[in-house]
Amino acid sequence: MIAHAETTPPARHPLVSFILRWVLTTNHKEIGTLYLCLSFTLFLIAGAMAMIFRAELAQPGLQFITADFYNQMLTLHGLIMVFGAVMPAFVGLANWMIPMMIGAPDMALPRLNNFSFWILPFAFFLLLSSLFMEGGAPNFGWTLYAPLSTTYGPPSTDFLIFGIHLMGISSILGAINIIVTIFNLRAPGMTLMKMPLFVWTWLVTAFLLIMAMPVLAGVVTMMLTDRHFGTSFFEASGGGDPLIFQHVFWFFGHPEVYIMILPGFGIASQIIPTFARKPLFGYASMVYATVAIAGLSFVVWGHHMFATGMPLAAELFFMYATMLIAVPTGVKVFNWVATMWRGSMTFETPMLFAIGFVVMFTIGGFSGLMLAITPADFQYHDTFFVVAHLHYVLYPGAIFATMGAVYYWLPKWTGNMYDERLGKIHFWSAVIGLNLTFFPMHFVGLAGMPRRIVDYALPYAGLNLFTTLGAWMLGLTQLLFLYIVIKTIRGGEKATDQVWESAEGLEWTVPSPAPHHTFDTPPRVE
Amino acid sequence: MGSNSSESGATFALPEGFQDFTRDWSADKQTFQVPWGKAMMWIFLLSDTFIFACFLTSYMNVRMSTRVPWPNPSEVFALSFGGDPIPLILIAIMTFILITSSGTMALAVNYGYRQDRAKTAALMFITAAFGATFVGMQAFEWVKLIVEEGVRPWGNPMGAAQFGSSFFMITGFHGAHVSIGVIYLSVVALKVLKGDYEASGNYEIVEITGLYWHFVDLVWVFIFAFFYLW
Amino acid sequence: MDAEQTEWDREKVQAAVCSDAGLMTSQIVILKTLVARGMSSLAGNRRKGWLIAPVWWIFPNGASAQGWDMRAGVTEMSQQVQMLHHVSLWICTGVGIVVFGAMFYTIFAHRRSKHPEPATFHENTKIEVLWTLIPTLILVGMAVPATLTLRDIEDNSDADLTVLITGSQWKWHYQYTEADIGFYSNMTTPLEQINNIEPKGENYLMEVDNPLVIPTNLKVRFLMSSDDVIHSWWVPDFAVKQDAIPGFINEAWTRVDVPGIYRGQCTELCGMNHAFMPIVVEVLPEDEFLAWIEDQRIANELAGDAAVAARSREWTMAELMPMGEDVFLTHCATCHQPDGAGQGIKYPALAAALDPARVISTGPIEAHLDRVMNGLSETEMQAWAPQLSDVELAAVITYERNAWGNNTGDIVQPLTVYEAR
Repeated sequence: MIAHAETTPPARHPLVSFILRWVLTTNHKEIGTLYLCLSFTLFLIAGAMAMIFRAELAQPGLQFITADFYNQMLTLHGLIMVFGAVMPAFVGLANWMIPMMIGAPDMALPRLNNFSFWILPFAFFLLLSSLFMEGGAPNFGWTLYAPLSTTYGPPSTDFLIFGIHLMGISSILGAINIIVTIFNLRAPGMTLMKMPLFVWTWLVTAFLLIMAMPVLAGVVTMMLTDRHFGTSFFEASGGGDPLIFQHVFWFFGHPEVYIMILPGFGIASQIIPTFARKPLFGYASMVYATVAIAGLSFVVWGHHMFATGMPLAAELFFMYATMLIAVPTGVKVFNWVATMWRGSMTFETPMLFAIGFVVMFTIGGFSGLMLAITPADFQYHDTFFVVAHLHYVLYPGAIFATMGAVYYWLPKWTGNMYDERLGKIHFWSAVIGLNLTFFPMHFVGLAGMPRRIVDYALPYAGLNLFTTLGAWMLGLTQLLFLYIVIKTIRGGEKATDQVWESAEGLEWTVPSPAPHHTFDTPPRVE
Repeated sequence: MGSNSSESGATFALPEGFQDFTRDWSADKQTFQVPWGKAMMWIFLLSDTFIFACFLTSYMNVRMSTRVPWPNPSEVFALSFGGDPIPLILIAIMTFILITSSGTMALAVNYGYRQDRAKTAALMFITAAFGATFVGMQAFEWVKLIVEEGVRPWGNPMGAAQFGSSFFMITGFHGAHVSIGVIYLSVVALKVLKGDYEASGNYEIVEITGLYWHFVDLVWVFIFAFFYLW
Repeated sequence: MDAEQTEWDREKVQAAVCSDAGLMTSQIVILKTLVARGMSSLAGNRRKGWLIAPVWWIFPNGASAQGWDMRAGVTEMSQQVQMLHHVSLWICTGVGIVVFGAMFYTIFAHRRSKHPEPATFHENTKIEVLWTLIPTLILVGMAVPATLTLRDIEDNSDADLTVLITGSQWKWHYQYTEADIGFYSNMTTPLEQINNIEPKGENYLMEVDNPLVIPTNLKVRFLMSSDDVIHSWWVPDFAVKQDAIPGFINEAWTRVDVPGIYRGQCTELCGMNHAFMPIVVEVLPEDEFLAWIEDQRIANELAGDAAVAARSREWTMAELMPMGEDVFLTHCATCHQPDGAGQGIKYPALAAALDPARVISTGPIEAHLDRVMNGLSETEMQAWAPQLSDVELAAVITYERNAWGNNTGDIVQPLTVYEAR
């Protein structure tokens, strides 16, 4: 039932067989590696775009790029970071770790797994190729608001739509695979309430994907028909309503936010107990909080649209529902702190990233709570305050968590320890860069600078220069991460099977590096 | 995997009340007595539900917010046989056919579990034929609307422009599902007939196909209610 | 500042108690007032001073004009909003101090070198219930004042004056529904400043030719809509931000106490020049406002007379060209570029030498006239006929047909434009 690419191939040119091995692989570890490589490549591409527009924003006035190209850059930066960097990174980690953590031989549907990965490079090829088309790449922000994206969108918008369809198919198939794996392939004794939290959060995330991605596919399909088949779902002059787009988009968009956060929660919940040498505090409440956050995420989409003229009742409902999210999120943060409480902590790089994640994600959570207050949101909405908020949530929540996870499990994957000193340098420069970049954004936003503008009034000048320098620092830091990972893959101090002295879980019972085929006979979990 | 299904099948019982529910969730991997093919189809259908829901709610939003009168479905979809137009007659027949096909599908699943190859395959072909008839009638309806009534995605002579937009979008999407279902049914029926599942004796694929087919029927009921009867 | 705030807080309490609204119980009012008092004393300017002082020394020309915090603004609503902002900010800060304090304490005290034997506890129902309930209560406390303020903000009834605000790429149109006055408001910052050729002025990117003028102490209702894409009209000092959505009308209101000039920007990405559609509102005392309205009416009549006079005579190339250049630089040059080079396919070139096959400005006059006056639907090329006078249209078309080496020699007369309307 489970296919592997291990059958001896006929004699081929080594390059051909190398490529075929990776193209045809159905092994969860290899597919996980592919996902992570693609994700990091796209992370660097989208990061480079951020460098470009931050350079433009360093000083008032237009220096390097045109206003239109600026809009293209910020659109692609958002889309690629969300769909290309964060989501594939989490799917890659899921591929690597979920079968190992639940004691399964592989993913339940290996061929599907291969298919859902190999759709992605084509999707992003479509998206990036739009940069070279006449009229330029999509230039209406990653939120694709109609009618700017329909009636006024450049021709390349269609490539974006098809790209999103492909990404959606990939995500849905990947999520189905993960759910089926978790439901069917757990080792005997691995009950749901014994699963590691990373697996739990991914199970919930997968359900969010299943429910949210089709909605995105639906709404971009309506965009497509509006653009080419004369329908007028979002076209006011044809009797349509531009706000339907926003409602449907954010019905996808808010769960999407949690898709990008929940696996990060899971990662922190794996790392912190290991280095605190103490079991996770409140396992059950962590699980319930995850499910509660996921449930609430479907009823808060309106808080992205407070300025669109919603009726008072709707504004109140969305305000209350959004504020409510702070409760389960707070429970998680308190639990992490309680896990550390009276532990015996050491601070290796994964632990640093996990703590950095908790602290800065909490800051992002605070500004999220402030944004939920509808009257105040009228002042925050679409300013740099929102940009600061979302980056404080996503950069630590998704990127730091992923990097922490890579440091945590890299010895298990490669059999080599990473360079602890370089890892610490990477962490500290990333933390400093992140705060230099995003903290001043709070102030420019409060002072009144709208987001997504290519040029700004003079009072915002000093802080924007500050932000730009921080952004460049943060961007360059990530090249160090690439170096550390490559160095670890090529060699280094050998890792033990246990790797971390008090790490718990099935993944630490197998040798380092983990064998191609992890569990031939299901382990027994007590 | 797959070896444990027979032994645990004997002890499997539907959960009763809260006690059994918690016992289920605290069990190990046999919690959900669902093979992965079926789990996958259920999850896929969940995601499909959301896409249809997104189209239907958008349609309802459009229909409620438009100021132009919506074309009267019972006139637009009427069909006359020589004399007076009978409202919704074609749709009624289509709905009847599709619901009947759900019945034949259920029978097919039943015979599948009894491992009666011939009957299973025959019933599945009948189901597929019903599906094909449905798609054919839908094509007829589209042609009538486009050619005779002049309905286009961007407008129509009777009223609100989005009537065409929503109609072609939703019924088109559903029609595509039915067409795919017909192909899917035929492929599985052929494999059943050829005896591909004899070796394992596992005719679950018939039930999985059935899940898809019942889902497509169910969606049609909603489209029927919201689009034609409203 | 503090005194002022307390003043209107008291008024609010009285108003609310007197009105005896079903929703608002007196306890809530008292709670709200208490919170407001506490916060307004906390939120005095002194505090902000020391908080940001270190950053000040590093960046002396930071966001100086606006300050580093959300501004108090000049309306009751904007001050209430600022108060809500401070309430939530300080609650978050308090929670943050507790949580991070505990965390850094444990990082310090329970590191392995000091605390080698880890404890083994992993749950405690009491404390878990506690830290679910306490945040819930804090949230309820935050929600109450927010709800009351929101209810006030959404109360658009009983307006004294209504202004219809229409966004279009990339300018605002203001229409006084009671007074039959309407005008466009364009950014006046010259391209030379944006392209760093000239030094930037004080109100760089925040200056317009015709500001919106409203009176003090009257409730002004804004109706927002749009001609093309979604825009958003935001004046931070009023705490008014409302999306302008094509085909739909949104409402907002303000009542400004202090005369002055207030500036804002479009806050919804609306295409290429989203950064270049500022909002300027001039708030005048009531009597000056009435005088201004009268001036506008007279100016309208004079403009009508001038238009009649303009089309009754023949204009020369020498008259039209400089005026045409002005109009072109104000309205057309951001897309088509000052040298008529255009930008790619979306914004075609107007200089014939650059794109002889497609250029419209050396083709037939009628087509050119039609394109400028009626625009091209579904593109950023808008209809200029309602926005410019006959003379301005004639001038800009004449300019386009003769500048940059186009040299067609055509002179378009205002009368031609008038007849084409």
